[in-house]
Amino acid sequence: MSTFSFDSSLSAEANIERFYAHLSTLDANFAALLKNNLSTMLPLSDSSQIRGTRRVAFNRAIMAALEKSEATLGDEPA
Amino acid sequence: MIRYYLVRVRIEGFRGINNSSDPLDLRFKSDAVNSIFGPNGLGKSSIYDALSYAIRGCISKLDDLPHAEDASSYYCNRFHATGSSTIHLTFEPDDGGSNVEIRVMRSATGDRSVDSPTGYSAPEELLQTLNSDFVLLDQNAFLRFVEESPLQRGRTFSGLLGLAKLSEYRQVLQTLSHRRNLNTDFDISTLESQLASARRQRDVALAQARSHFKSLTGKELIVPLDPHVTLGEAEKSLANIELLKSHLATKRLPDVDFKEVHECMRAAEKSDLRDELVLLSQAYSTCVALKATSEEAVDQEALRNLLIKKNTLLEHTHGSLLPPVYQSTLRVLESADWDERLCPACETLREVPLSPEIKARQSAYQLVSECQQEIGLKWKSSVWVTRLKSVEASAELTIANDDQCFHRLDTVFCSGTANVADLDDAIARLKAVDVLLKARIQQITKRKEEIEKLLPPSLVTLSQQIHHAEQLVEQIQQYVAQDVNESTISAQLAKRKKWIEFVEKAFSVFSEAEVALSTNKALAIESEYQQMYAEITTNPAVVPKLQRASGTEDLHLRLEQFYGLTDVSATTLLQESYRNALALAIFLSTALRSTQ
Repeated sequence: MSTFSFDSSLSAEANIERFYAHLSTLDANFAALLKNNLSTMLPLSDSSQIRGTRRVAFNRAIMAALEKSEATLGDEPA
Repeated sequence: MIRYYLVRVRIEGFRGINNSSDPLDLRFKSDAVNSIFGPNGLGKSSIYDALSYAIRGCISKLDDLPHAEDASSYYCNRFHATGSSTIHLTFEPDDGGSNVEIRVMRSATGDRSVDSPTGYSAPEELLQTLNSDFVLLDQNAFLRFVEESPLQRGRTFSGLLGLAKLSEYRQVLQTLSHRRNLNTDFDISTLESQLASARRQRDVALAQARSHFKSLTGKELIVPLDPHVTLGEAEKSLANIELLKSHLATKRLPDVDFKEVHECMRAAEKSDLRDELVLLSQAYSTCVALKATSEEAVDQEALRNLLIKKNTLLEHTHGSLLPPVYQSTLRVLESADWDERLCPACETLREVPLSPEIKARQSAYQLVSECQQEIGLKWKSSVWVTRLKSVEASAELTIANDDQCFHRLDTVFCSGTANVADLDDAIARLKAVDVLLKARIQQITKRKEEIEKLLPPSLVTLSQQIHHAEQLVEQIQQYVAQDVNESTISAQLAKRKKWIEFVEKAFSVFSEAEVALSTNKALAIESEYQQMYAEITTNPAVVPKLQRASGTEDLHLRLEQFYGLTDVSATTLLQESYRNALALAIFLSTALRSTQ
């Protein structure tokens, strides 16, 4: 896997898109799965208890998606 | 991108500014640094609060007060005739266009409304573009930057550099790639335990099948086991037995009704001894299957080590009453209106935030809990434990319910309260029932030999062959079932481990890239804030430096030079006014860089 770096001339959103594109070279389905579910982890300003509950829910969604066939991974938000 | 300069502010009825029907009117130059000065109590802070409310929609210092203070009712001036507030802001665009006027109002009931008397189409959006980390800085912002933890400072600095969103993503990825969380959330230990159990049961079935196949055919079983071929060989061995011909003529061995076969043999032999021999053969097989395996000692030792580990971990905890206290303490410390260095229990002000220490203590309890779970899983998945249960419950040994101890031990191990003495108790109990088992096998063997001497040799052999055939079918079915189970769990585990590897890699890649970008941005402003600090303090003997810790978000405030000393802590050595100067230099140089 080649080295990845952020481009200081781009916005954070554009750099995050580039990051996902880079992850897709490692595993496109997993990259899409991460991208589609990551927003459920926000905001970070909530208490650690709520963030912990969100993390468990996130990982359950990932597990449910993993149980599907590899071909369908990442096609839609879990 | 168009930049907007604030050239006029008019305020009425806000905070300390009453000015009913005669707004306070301030004008600023767009080509100069503007300052407001005046005696105490004249309203300088209220002007700052008005700009904060207009741009951010709130006044942080009020909102951070305890709920009982009812801070929202102090936004509007309490003496104003209508109890409402109006803030007019006039901006001059740097593209030569017309000035933009935006009016922000707060009603007596606290409702906010925004419009533009000059007809600007999106006044709220324009105000939002002004809401960046280096606009509306106050002394508290400077103090926090110097005194907060390196981690929090690193995150604040990321915000100043325009990297707040990347910092946020990094934190999320860090949470998602935390190995202990992943192992718990994805049931990795449970699946690994189930996998080991399926493999053991498959191997036991294979060993049994091998033994019955050898007894039936006189040949060695070919491994890997092919059920079709193996059963075919068994059928050939049984093909010439007259009594079985009708049963095997149209069926494969697994489809044979062995109950029917036994009935046929009984009818042919007309002997109660025949029935007893069948029962004894079954009893013999049952008892032999319950005998100890060579792996048991290893499993018992592994469980003993886990129990010792749990005792060691327990020494780092302080009883069962404290975890809820830690949980409550952490919730208080994480609440917005609490100083994280102030102990909620004794209200002692500590030098450093309490949260890391509380989390470390919670972590000690978490480790005990995980170890208890591991003990429970090990207990459940150990073959010798299953054997203890089976032997005690076996009809061959007829142990009275009151004398059985498996269920008591099972409760102890699964509830997490087991200790080494319980393990010794279980092992001793297993040894005791093994003695009973051995005696029962000797008894069965003796009785079988007696009957075999009384029966015609041909039927004895036939009886044994049928018994081996029946057992072979059963063990092959068990082998296939466990093989499928093993494959299913293996695939499940592999998928989850692949995800874990992926998310860990994602965090590693993101983190390295974010650190590199942040470091480069910090280096780009280094000469600017160092020069600005020197100009503010007129002291060239002290040179500050921001240091990003490798691989983390921590940002350290260091002094590259301090009267001949090199690389020393800025937070501990600088007096308050110099700390403010340092924070000011960093914020301003960052702000200047962002506008270039």
